[in-house]
Amino acid sequence: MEPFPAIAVHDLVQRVGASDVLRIPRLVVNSGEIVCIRGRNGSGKTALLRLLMGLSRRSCHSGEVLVLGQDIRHIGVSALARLRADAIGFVLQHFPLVPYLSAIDNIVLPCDFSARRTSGAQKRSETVANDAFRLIRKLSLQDPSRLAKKAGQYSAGQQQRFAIARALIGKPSLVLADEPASAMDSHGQEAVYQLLQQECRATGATLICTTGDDSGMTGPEGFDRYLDMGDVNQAGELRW
Amino acid sequence: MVILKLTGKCLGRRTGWVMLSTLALAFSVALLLVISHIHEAVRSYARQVSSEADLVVSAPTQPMNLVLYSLFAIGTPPPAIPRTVYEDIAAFAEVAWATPVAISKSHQGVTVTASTPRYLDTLQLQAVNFIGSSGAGTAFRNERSAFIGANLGHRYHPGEVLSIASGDSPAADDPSDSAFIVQGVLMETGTPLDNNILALIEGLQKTRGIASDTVNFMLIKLHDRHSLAAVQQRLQAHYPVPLAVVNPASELARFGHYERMLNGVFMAMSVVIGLLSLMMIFFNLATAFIERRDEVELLRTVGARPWQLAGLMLVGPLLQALLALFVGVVCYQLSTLFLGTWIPLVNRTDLPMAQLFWLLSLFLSSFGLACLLAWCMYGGSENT
Repeated sequence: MEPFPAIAVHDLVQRVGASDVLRIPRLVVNSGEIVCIRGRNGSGKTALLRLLMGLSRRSCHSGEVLVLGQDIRHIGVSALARLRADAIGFVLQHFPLVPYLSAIDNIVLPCDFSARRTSGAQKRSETVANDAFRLIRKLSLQDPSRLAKKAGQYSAGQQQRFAIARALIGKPSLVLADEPASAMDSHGQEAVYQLLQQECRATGATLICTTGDDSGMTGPEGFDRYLDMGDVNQAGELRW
Repeated sequence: MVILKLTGKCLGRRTGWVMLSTLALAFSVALLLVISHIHEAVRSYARQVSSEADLVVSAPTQPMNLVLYSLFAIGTPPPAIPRTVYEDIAAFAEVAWATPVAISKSHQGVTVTASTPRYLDTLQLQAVNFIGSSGAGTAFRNERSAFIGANLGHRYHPGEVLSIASGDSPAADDPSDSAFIVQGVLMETGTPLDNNILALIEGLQKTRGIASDTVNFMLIKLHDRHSLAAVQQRLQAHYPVPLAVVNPASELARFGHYERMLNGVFMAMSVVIGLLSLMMIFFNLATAFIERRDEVELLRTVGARPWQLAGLMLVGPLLQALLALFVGVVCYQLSTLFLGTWIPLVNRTDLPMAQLFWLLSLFLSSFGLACLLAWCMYGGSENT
């Protein structure tokens, strides 16, 4: 059977002011594929993921961006919000959690906006909270009672773990993770990448994970495909 | 529901600032209402009292002094004039009624104001603890009945006997038949009348030894207000005895000018406080708007729709405004209870429409500010 593309980008040009931020002739990620995009700071990794989420689509100059079959550039605002809520889990590199919510409230937040994510979590672990605890245990946090504290009281590494659990809860079809383990030690990074890969393989979700590990250091392992952002984005790196 | 949940938790996080701005707005609401209420109550009372009497006549004195003393017992009583003057004026064809008031008697140092039941009606004096009947009223039971002012209620009780004497203090030769019975206690007026005893002037006239042939002033009601100027002119220019003749409504209108000025100053202060608290809410919102950009982006990534994000900006300030209005109105209601003991007149007025206008204006201002930011949030969410 012909693989269904989860992400299809053709002849994309995105500009901020007079500068090209993204210039991508072609990028296709098939459904269920686990992909790691490596690149230096300013190479456009975050810009690409934000565009795939539809957070910066108005700055697209030309080209086609299909996410789960939907044309991100032309989809309606409500349909885009529905797509994000139901089908996409996203890990922001900075500001991973809503600071005034508890850790558990942050993790289950997508289920508040999507009945489909709620249903997905309940099918897997009976309740949404149980699914949250299941994911957290896999991230080496054993005591669920500690999730009641406000998000701002946790370390940066712990906040990233909770953000990853939030992105995975409710079986989204696509997971976009922007340097999800940047604030963790090597042990934590390994656990995070393993969880992301395991969960996405178990549910058949597509995973696109960016990482800044491109300078000869050992990067994350286990991905189906590794892309260099320098090859993907022909706009070049932004240097200040 | 998720928006309400997020709003509640967000407000909880900023409790200090939220409470400060809410209380400031509530305080300005209460202040606006109290000032407006006092203004309305005093004006309403003065209008009612002055509309009952068309003219006040006494021996020559300052017009404002005469009005203040005759209607509010404030100041010093005007000099006495012969009772025959009152009887003569009361017989004028234009006069519907005239009621004399004499202040020349006392009981153990307490001033006795002698007049008729119409005087009590004119000043809207109500009495409690009636002897022989239930409820409140002002009718004298007989010629030896007296009412005591509210501040004397702890000293005298209904049924107690008062011995009234001429002058300011009892004398050794006070007549034995000058006893009056306390019929009731007047409700508080907030004026020096609360320290007076009110007795029927006919009863005092018939009491041997303290009968007097003078009055201090008289209140006059005309059949037709069109004859007011003519009667005033006649009494001032052509009457054989020099008199002060004052139209209380016009005198109070002059007094009202200063009262309105003072009221305007207080209202301006309240409006400034209200505006400052609205600005505080606005700056809180604007700061939160900027601070929460990352949070908003995060919420968008989990599927929040533009109207939900706009709601996030709208619900908080709306809740704040509603809470401030509620607290402000409660504070106002409580303050009127205390004000009632200080200025009893304020008990006479309900919440007027003007005050509802203030409440509505403040609420709409808060709502407008919130809508502005919500609109910015909505537009920002749609245009990315």
